[in-house]
Amino acid sequence: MMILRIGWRNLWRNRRRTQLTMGAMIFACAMLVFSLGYYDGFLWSLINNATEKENGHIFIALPGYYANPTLEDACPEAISSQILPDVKAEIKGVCPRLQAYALLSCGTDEENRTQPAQIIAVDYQAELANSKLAGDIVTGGFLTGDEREILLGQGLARRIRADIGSEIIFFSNAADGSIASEILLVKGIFSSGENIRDSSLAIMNLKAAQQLLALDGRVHSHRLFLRDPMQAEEIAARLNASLKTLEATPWQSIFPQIADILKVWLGVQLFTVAIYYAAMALITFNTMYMAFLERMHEFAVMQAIGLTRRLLAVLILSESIIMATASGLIGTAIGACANFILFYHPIDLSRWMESITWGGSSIQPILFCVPSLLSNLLPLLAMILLGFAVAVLPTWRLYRLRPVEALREG
Amino acid sequence: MKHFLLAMLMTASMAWAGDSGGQASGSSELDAVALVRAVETQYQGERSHGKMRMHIKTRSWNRMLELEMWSEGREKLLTRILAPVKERGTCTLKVDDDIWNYISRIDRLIKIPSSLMGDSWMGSHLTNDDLVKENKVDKLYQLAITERVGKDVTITGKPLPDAAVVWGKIVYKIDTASLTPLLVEYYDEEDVKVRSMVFSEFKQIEQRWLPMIARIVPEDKPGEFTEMQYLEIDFSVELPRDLFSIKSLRNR
Repeated sequence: MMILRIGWRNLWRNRRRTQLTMGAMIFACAMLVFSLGYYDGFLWSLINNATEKENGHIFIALPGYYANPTLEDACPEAISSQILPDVKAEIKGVCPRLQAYALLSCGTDEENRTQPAQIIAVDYQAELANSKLAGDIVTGGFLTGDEREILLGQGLARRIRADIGSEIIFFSNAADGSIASEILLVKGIFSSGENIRDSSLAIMNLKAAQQLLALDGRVHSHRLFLRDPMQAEEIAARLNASLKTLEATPWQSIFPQIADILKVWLGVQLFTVAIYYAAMALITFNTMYMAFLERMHEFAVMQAIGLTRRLLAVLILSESIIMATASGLIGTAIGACANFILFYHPIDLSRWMESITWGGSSIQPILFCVPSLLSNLLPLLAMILLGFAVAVLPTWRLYRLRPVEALREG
Repeated sequence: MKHFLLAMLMTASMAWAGDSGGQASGSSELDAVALVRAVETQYQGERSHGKMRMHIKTRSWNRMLELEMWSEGREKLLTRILAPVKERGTCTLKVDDDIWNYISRIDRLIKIPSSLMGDSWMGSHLTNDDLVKENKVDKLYQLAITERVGKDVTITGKPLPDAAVVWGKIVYKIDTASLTPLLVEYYDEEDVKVRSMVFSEFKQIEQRWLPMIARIVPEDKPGEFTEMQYLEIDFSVELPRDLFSIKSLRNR
């Protein structure tokens, strides 16, 4: 305890040197915590963008539907009885959907504009509770359950010259082969950030689509949202064991590129820590070693008056570890605060940057961080280890120190 | 196009027209010219009016449509659904390369964009492209007589280099005695047969031999077909001048 007290006092004997060294360590630690949080945020965004608008964490449909979707391959809307209670506990929400292709037309006679569109029919309440569809609305509002309302992608609306309140003619073939036609009204226009999707996608209410497409009580898929998306593969396997005629596909199978990134993610994080701290170690080591050389005379005197080499080594180590731990704690606190702020209040950079589509998902220009225990603890532990590592060489030099020679040189 | 069934007959006849365009060689060219004129004379009425039953069978549904049709030359066609009641009044108007659908249930008109010409027409195995391109076979395909067995002749059509067409090859079998088509086969770019059309129940109407039934069979969908059967056909009909107009669709 006395050694720790002496170590603490020694650190503040040269206040400026300690402040500079700690400042660099705090900055490095805070930046690292922030960087890891940002990387986690990037990965989470990638997974969320891929799953929360489209297929959910687990996609349930008739076998083969995902690879080759057809209008006729619909499954029952109610599948709750087929899901085991222990699996239900893992499920946050279920979004049933219909998918079809139709001609959407706006304007009359010579002004008529027609485009083929992919139609997604959704249970608006389930989507509001679970998915991020409603967050994409840029003009107008989200679905409210009115049978005749439709949402258009921004590009699609532009192509058929539709605006809020425009009358849209829906024309397609129903599942029984009959002609499906209806007049719908544009309730909202959305922009998901993916131009191809926004140029061809329209969203309407599930009940209206079921009637229109002769699919009463049936849907094409159930999209499950889990409490922990990382459990999707395991839960899909359990679902496949209990579902009789349906097939559960986890998001990892739908987006294998994103799943592959996850497998190497810890390695990437450790590599990032190593790069940051390699640079940090050089700076810190330089500062501490210079301080050690300055204090050579002092160490010789302490040895001469009876302090053992072992205690001196412990003193040097404790000074270094105290400084590293304090810096690590402060840096982690700063980095974690930044992560929490950007977790709850992400910064939208879409004014200056465009989104990128990759691996079936999209990378949005949003500064978003996810604070996690690992991203906070890893830099802190690494910083403490760094404090230990940079003290090893001075300690070794101290073990070999001859007090008489040191006093003569000093 | 004329009627759908008539359209297919005309497709066959235009194969001969293409052959006469200097693509085939030697004596087959002369035969083709003579035959195509005979086939055209037989099928190409100035105007026609008829009724047809269309039976569409897919793996998911089995339905019947009854249609009334009017045609003028090769460029104008109007169809109107008579049954089932739910779809009664729905019309398709084809003028030159444009196709319009009038949906009576909601009293609205839709123009089919060129990007959707390959899509199914009214849920059948016919495409919108079938309605538009059938009278341009001679301009789009290089045609040649490839086989003669008795009175039956086989003609193979391959797309011209600049032609924007769906098929990689079309093969026709024609009965030269009655000047009627027997079979049309459609192949993709990899020479795989995609669709067949078989004609049957030949009947003489107003000194013309016509197959009363045409069955389209998609090769990749076993058990599916679209069968079109003439219920009545009249080549000596007078048609109102503005029949093939958008305005007239709403009045049908």
